[in-house]
Amino acid sequence: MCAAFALEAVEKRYGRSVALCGLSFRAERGESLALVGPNGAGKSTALKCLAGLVRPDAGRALLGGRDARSTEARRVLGYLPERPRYEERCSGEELLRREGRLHALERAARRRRARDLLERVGLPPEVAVRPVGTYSKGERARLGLALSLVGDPQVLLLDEPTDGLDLIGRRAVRTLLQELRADGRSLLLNSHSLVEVEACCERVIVLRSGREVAQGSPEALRARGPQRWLLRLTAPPAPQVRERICEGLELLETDGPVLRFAVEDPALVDGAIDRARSAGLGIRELRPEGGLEEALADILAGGFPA
Amino acid sequence: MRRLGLWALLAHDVLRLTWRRRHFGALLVAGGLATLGAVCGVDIERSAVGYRLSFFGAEVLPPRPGDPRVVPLAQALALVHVLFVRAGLAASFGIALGLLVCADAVPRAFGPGRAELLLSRPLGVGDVVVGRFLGALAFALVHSLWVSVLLFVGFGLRLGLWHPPLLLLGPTLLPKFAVLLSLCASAAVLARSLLLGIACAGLAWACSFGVNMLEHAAHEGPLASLEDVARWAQRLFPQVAHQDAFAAWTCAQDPPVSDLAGLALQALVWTALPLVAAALVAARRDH
Repeated sequence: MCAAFALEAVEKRYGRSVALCGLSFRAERGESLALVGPNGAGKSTALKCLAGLVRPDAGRALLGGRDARSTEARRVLGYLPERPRYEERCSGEELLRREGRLHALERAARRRRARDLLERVGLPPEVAVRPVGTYSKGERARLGLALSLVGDPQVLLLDEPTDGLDLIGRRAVRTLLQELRADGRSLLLNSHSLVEVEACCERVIVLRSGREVAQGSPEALRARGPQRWLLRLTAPPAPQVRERICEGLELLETDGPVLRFAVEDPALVDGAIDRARSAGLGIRELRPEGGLEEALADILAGGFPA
Repeated sequence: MRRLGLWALLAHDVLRLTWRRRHFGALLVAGGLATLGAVCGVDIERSAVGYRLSFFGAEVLPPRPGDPRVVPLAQALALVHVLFVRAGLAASFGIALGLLVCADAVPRAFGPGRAELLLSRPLGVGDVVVGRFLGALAFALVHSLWVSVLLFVGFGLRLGLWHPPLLLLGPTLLPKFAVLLSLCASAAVLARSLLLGIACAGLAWACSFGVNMLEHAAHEGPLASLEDVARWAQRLFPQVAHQDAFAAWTCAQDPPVSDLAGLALQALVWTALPLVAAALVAARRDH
């Protein structure tokens, strides 16, 4: 079975600067991927190659097994660009209906789809009838997402979909992306929000200077980072007790009842808890602190091999 | 069929957006006032032997026999063309204004942020170019019809000339507008600069004017030695752009239809060629 989308050894240069250097990945139908990396890593270019907007210098970009630049391939595609520019004098609802016409939807289906999508992305009807020129950044982001979904696409390429959204908006988009994923759509997300990436994507591809430096599930990548823990006790431990609790652990910081330590084997944390309890101290809080962000920062800094 | 639907949709986009521009109303009013002002400037002095036409006091037609209210249709059109296409500035002003308003219709679709939205959808670059160009033409048609209706009514009320063919005056200028707009849009897409596109159309217009003058001078005598050059320049340059050929055709007594077909074909080719070039280049370009 052909992949939902794939890049095969894609190279792309803009003048002297290299945007993509032999980048390859593929996603099966229903799979969701995230591209992460610093600015200028080539994430948006990779998305544009798949959207048929950028012609690779070498290699192939495929959508559903077809060349991404073909009109046929783009029938299954929903794409949200990084900085879309809408017709400011049109209302959001008008743009959605027009998009429906581009996708050859019948008049009734267009209206229904526009209404459903506005509700789904949380754009109130009174906002939808206003000219886009009067929209806030968040409302524009919601509209962009709705527009990319009009054609009921099987493949979604989203470039910074929550950029400019408030907390509630981000949460709504995250829920929507999870629903789309549950519907069996393939998703490629370019986002700097790792919360979103962890919540919505099964696989993360880390890019640096147009090359893949790591890939894996968010859990696997997180495990590759440093294991830091926070332990909050019911009372500040005496210095000898503290030393006993932290046997075999690397104590990083103490602040009253709070201990921060690094550990190579998470199983050693259980021993520390037992020792604290045997010293008569209760456990208020215990949680790992080293998240995906730290892991990715280490990977991008070159601390971990690909 | 689907392609026609896409073109209609894209053309409708241009029409709708041009219509909603803040200056659109002002443009219609300005066009109307200019037309009515020009109508006010026309005067017919009737005498026992015929009539004489003047435009703001200046004679534009030598005295002619007959009554202008009962001249044949072709002559009525000729009358208006002489006033507004050849001698008058209204038509040129209208075309220039139309070009300025519609110049960004095609290149706008390829601007940053817009190209991504449009070209990631299931339609080709060629569809975008053609659809949006047709939209600009439709806008020009609407505007030219508005001016033509004003002319018709103005002539009728002021001079008693109720000639329905006057309504065709605007549309006969469309081929010239199409050629210039096509050059403008294509240059703007190729160079990624609207200003350059407008400059290109202006240059083409100036060249066509130059060729026209050269042809005139060679034909009339003062530059007879350059007749060959003028003939070659005419062949190289689209006749529709430099001679208001459709207007000339309608002015002619008993004009041959084959000439009209030739002119239409020439207009079509000179409109299509730059657009095809723009579409081909834009399709190969990154967006």
